[in-house]
Amino acid sequence: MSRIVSGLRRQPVILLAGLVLVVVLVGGVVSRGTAVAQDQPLDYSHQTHIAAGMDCLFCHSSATRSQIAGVPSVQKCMGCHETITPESESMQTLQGYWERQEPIPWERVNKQPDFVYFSHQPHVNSGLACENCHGDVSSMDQAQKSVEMDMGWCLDCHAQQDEAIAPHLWDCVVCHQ
Amino acid sequence: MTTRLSDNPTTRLSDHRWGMAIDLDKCTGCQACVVSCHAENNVPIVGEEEAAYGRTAHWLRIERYWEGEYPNVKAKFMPVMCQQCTEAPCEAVCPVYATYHSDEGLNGQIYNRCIGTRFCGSACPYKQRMYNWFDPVFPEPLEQQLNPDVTVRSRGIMEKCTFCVQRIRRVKEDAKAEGREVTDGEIQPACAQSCPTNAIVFGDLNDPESRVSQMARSSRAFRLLENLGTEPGVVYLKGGETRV
Repeated sequence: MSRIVSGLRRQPVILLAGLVLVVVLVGGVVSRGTAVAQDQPLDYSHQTHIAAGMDCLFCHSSATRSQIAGVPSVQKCMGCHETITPESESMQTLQGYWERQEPIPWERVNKQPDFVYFSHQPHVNSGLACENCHGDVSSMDQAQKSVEMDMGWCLDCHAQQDEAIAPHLWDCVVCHQ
Repeated sequence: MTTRLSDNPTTRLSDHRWGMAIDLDKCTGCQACVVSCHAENNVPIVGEEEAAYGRTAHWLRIERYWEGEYPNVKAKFMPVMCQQCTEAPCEAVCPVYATYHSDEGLNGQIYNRCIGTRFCGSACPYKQRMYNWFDPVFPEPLEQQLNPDVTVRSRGIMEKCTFCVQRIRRVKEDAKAEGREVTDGEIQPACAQSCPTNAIVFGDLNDPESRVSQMARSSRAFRLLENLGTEPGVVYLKGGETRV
């Protein structure tokens, strides 16, 4: 026992370095692709809305004609919720934003770095369904990141497509700006 | 002989070859193109002191030539930007493929790949590559007008004129969404758009009817440092004399 302890004493730096390495590796594996729900300012459920028969594009209506899919305005929320469940707690919060004429400060779920160009328009218009990239949002209460949207993920999917429909993305300036 | 991606037979060659023609007879040296280029592409301002060290930051500069003695002075102006060379000396020397040739004739610069060796800047015979020695500064109120379609390059990154690739991309996507081809004159880089005399014309050199192709066939046409064999995508039309 004493031999082991003294052995450990001789190698504290190596031991510490090994420990750090293990933590980094395990942390990297665990954090990758893990859905972590973020704190949102309003208790909003995607599941409830989609179950009620709503289409993604009703709220995210810019997706067919713009880079960004868009987050609906408070006015759009109020368009329905002036009459639908106006008494509930989260609707009271919504009412507060409406009266103060403030936008809801949603936390962004999927982020792309500054140097990446991505546009929803060509993807949605070529018939790609939202869940191909965003996962099954219809079963999520709160929207969560379902996949790590990195370059390899983009390239993998594009490589499987017919080149007449989707470019194979070997040209860097298609996505890098 | 280097092998380029566009030599690969499995990849489709593009229908386009983007090019630019600049009529030096029309250029008055007003520098509107320089200003609009700064605004469009988030080109930082280095300030007087850094400029004195030769660290000026422009993607487009106006070369000015004085000829003769006062009062019979002639001024000649020449806007010089990245020449988007077909045989680009900068591409061959980049150790990380941060600069490469697209099959549309663009000399692409991928900022997040760049490690800042500055080899490309040394290789460029036109001195049209700019290195970020410091983190970019946009003094008030310039930070209010940063273009969201263009990255702000950080310290240690090489940058240069991209032919406003973000505008090319946007027009191509819009045309595709409307199910049509890109029409001539639809894509305008910031410099061409802001030129008050329309001296700068941008377009597709593969389309023989485009304005840029017609200008490139002019008897006045020449390319900068043609003897180097870089085959630039920018064509100049020889100017006569501008008296000031």
